Amino acid sequence: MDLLDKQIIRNANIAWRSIEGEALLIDSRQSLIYPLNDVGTLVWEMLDGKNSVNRIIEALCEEFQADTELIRKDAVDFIEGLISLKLADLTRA
Amino acid sequence: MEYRVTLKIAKIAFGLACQRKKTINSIIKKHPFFLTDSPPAITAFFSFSKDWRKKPLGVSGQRATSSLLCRAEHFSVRMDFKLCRADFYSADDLAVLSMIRLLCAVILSRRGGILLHSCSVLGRRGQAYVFFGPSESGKTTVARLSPDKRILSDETTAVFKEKGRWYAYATPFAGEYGPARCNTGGPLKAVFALNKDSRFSHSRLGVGPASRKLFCSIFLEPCDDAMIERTLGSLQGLCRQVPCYDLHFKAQSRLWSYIDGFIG
Repeated sequence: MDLLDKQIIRNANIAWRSIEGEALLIDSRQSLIYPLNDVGTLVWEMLDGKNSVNRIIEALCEEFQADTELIRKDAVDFIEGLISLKLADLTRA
Repeated sequence: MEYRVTLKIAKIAFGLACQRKKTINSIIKKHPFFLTDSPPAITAFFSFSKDWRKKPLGVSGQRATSSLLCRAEHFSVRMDFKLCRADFYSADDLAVLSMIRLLCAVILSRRGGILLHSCSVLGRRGQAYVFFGPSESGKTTVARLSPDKRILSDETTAVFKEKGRWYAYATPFAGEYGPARCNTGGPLKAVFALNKDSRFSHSRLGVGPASRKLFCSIFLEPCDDAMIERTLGSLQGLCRQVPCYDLHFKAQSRLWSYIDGFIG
């Protein structure tokens, strides 16, 4: 799936809160908890349906000193993981 | 005919009403320390019938703030916070304490508090210590290792904030150690995540890790996302104000001298 120019939105049915820079996602229907590290939290907070994946990758590159290709690959893998777990989805055009 | 009793838990009065006298009498007999004449903040009405699963609960918006619907394994409930009323439906009264515990957890949550799967004790200066963890983590063991301290609970502690300070209070929801022998509490001195081990050790937990660990020990039926988010906020506030530790311990009487050695 080519996500780079897609906009992704958090699943509105997931309760979450960022605590000291690390988010905790609660899927109450499945009784599952997903703790995110600081990088995952930054991505998660940007999944408001308005930011494209490319924009998110740009923000990560600005924030962290790391290889751009590595950041792109990790961000896409992470977002694909969120989508597969139904924690996020593509916005409807 | 309807029979009633009111229990005061964590300074909140919960009215309980039922047409079965036996149910109310059992509550009165088992929880004498929690009986009160105070007017209830909310009243739970218990109805028992074989068709309880067919009882329509109505429709609640996903993030409705004035009502809450919940279906658990042995009962269902509709809470109306405007009417200060909760209607519980079940086959019989075997789960009545679980229903009261759910009501307590929800009302505490709405007031910024939490109901924690934990053991809690009062120290010599009236300060409370809370030890939390899953089953078999050592909560009842800690209670047994504290013969010179007042045990608030070996299973369920109410934690809430009042006038800027966090408190831990006894509840009637007891474990193996037996029913609560007091209805009191104290300002919260420290919180410990319990781990049974072959030796004593501890480490201070940051707000994030402490909040995550505590969340896994909260009594909270997953029926309302707004309540979950509010609870996470309460946890963050608690962990910012009260020191939280990861505690590894041996089941020895030395437990309290070890804790006093680093808490002070």
